[in-house]
Parts: sequence; structure tokens; C-alpha cells
Amino acid sequence: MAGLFLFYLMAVVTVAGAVGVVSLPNPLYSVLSLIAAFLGLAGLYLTLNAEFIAVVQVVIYAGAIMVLFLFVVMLLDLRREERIPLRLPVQKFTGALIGVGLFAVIMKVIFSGSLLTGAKGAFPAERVSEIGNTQVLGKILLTDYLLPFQAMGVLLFVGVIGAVVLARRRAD
Amino acid sequence: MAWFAIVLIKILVAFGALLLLAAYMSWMERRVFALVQVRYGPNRVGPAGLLQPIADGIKLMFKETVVPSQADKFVFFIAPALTLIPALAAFAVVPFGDTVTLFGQKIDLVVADVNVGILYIFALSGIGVYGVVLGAWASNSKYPLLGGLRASAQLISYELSLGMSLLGVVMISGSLSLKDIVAGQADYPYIFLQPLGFILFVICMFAETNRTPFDLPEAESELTGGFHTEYSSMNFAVYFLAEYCNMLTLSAVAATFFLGGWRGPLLPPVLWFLIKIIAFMFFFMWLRASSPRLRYDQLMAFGWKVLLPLSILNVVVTAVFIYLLDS
Repeated sequence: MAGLFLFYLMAVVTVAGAVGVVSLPNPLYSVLSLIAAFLGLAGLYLTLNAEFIAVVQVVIYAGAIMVLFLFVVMLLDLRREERIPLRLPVQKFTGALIGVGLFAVIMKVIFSGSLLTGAKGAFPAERVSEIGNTQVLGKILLTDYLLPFQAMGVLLFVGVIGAVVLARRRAD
Repeated sequence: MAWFAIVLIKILVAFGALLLLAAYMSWMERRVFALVQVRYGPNRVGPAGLLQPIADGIKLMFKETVVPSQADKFVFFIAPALTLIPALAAFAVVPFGDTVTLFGQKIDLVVADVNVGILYIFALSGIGVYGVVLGAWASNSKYPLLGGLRASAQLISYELSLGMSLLGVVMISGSLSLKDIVAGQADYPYIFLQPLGFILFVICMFAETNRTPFDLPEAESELTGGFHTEYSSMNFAVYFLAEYCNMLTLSAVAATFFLGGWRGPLLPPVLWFLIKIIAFMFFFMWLRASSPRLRYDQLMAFGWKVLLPLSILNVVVTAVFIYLLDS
């Protein structure tokens, strides 16, 4: 019961935050709603017994990445932008189309009930809480999913090098 | 129901004590400052000036709240709370004593034993930055804005080293829960196994709490008051309290990770924990009274080029040692 209540609370926070990001006129308020959406998402992870993912979500997305967003928004002084209504007809139309399509897909999955009858994996919630959330994640990442994990590391490394190269070219 | 009541009492006692301690740290800071500068410090209100924080609190409550023109009112008023709430909530996972038996109930002296405890503290300290940055932005004034920008850049840079410096202890104890980490230090505190980690953590702790020599976000000589320049009355007091709560929480984390937490001979555990925290607080104040401020480029270079490589080295060396000792 309490779990269900928490789920709805966090779902409302997440969705309201996401709506706020695209609809608020002030860019800084958009950043704040995005932070709220991320925190709601972290709460949703908590209701799924994924404590580690929830906390990392807050540390990395709500903490580090959004501070950088805020940094940029503060530096750019976007106050004039508030008054100019956005005119992006093509983008709005495409966005609405994709949104409706996604909504239809989600509705179909929910009402077909195929999510509820899925087979249980090797790590159901009881086993995870027995061994420990972080321990399970670490073990699986470094055994079964070692190659994707390493590939992700390489990908991030390439991203870092790319950022340095771009920043360097600007400075010259 | 008994369980609920116990949790409620623990929350009230822990946070009440934390807030009271934070208020008294302002008194201690002024007295220590005076000691270093061969003055008396506040010694008029009550015995040895002990009622000074209460007098200050009453004074601040009756001051007028001044809001700068064209300030973003909503953000301006929630920003101080956004710093104080994470600073208080972070303390919830810090164990301040052993399990005690009261009225036939076994009570762990920790508000919440979370299995990702230390990550929870990092998450909240990351959220705490927003209060500073948003308060600075909402003031619509140039000095706070500069202070806020410095705060966000500084906190992002030093958070990495702060986390990495604790990783060695986490690897040795094999747990992220602060309770397990204290349990792992039954024979000797981890400072003997992780001396470099301890030094790195203490340095980053100063940077995370915006204290001298890393107090650039509120550098008085160039930015008047930095991010809280435009704040007055209770809003200012909340920022002030949040800073001391952050210092206390990080001192508690340092004591828990490196000095054995509440463990100690003879004296009761809670007292030992308090002594360790206050020793760290004294160190904070001592350094503020005796050291100059870093330049901004020095701060960034020090964080990224010295502290971060050293903390990564610490993790690698620890991993090698654990592997060699296990096999």
C-alpha cells in the first residue's frame, strides 16, 4: 500500500517535472523542473528495490550534470528569451506525432498484460536484497556483461577526448 | 507502533542536537578566532558568552528581510532551505553510537542504516549545491552571481576527489553502509591503512564546505559576501546554519571512515563521537584563522591536477594490496 502510494507520488513528480521542462518560459525554471523529474525518477528506482541505481541517479544526473546545465543558463543570461514565444512548427508537429505514437505503444503493452506475466530472472527482488544491491550489480557488470561494460568505458573515454579537442580548437 | 515512535524520537534527537551544535559552533568559531588573534571574543552574554548564539538567533529573527529589486522571489526564498535540508538529511545515515537497550528495546544509534549510506551522503551534498547557486542567481546582483558560479565549479571539481578518497575504505571494508564501516574498525581505525585517503578527504572536505583556504564563493575581500551578499535576517541565518551543518556532517563522515566512528576506550561511545567531530571543527577554525585564500586558478589546478590523480593512485594501490593480501 505504502509502496503504491510512493509510486504514484513519484510518478506525478516525474511527469510534472517533465512537462515543466518543455512548458515553462524561464530556462532556469526548466532546469529546476528537470532536476525535480530526475529526483522523481530516483524515487521510482527506490520503489523497485534498486537503491544503488537510485542514489547514483541523484549523484550523477540531479547532482553533477544539472549543475553544469545551471552553470550555462546562469552565464548566458537568458532573460530576454523569456518573452519571445518559440516558433518551431515543424519540430512541434514531429514531436506531437512521436509522442502520440509512443503513447499508443505504451498503452498497447499495458493493456495486453504481457509485462505482468514475464518469467522471473536469476535475480528476483528477494535474492538481491539478500546479497546486497551494490554487490549484485558489481558482480553482474564485471562477469556476464564485462564486454558491454568495457565498451561503454571506451565510449565515454572517446567522449572525453572529443570534448578536449573541441575546447582546444576554440582556445587557439 | 513502537518502531515508528523510536524512529521519530531518533530523528528529533539527532537533528535537534545537530542544529544546536551548529549554532554553538558559531560561538566556538568566534572564541577560537579570538584565541588565535589574542582577543577575548564574545564573553558577555551568559557565562563565557555561552548564550551568544541564542542572542544572535533572536536578533536575526527580528531583522527585516530585504529582497533586492527584480530578484526572483520564489527562488530567492526557497534557496536557503535547499541548502539546509540536504545538510540536515545527510546526517541521517551517520551512526553516532553502538546498539543500546532502552526499556527492553534494542535501539541502533543511527537514524537510518541505509545499505548505500555513503553514496546517499554524496547525493545530498550534490543537491546542496543548488541552494548556493540558485540563491546567488535569484539575488539579481553581480557579486552573488560570481560567488555562485565559483561555488558550482568548485563543488563539481572537488566532489570527485572527495568520493574517490573514500573508495579505499569502502574497498577494505567491502560495504557502503556506515554502520558496517564502523564495525570493520574494531581492531584499529582505517587511518592506519589509508593515510593518503585521510589527507585527501580532509582537504576536499574544506573545499566542499567553502571554508578557508577554499572559501572563494564567499571571498569577503573581493565579493563582499559572495552568494549570500543580498541575504539578511533568517534567510541569512539558514545559510549560516547550513554551512555549519555541512561541516559537522563531513566531520562525522571523516570520523566514521578513518577514526573508528564512535569507538574509543573508557568514555561512552556518543561522547567519543562528539569529541572526534569537535576536534575536526577546531581544525576547520584553526585553519581559517591562520591560512590565506587560494587564487581561483590555483584552486582548479590543485583539484584536477593534484588531488584527483592522487586519489585515483590511492584506489589503485589499495586494490593491488587487497589482491596481494587475499591471495
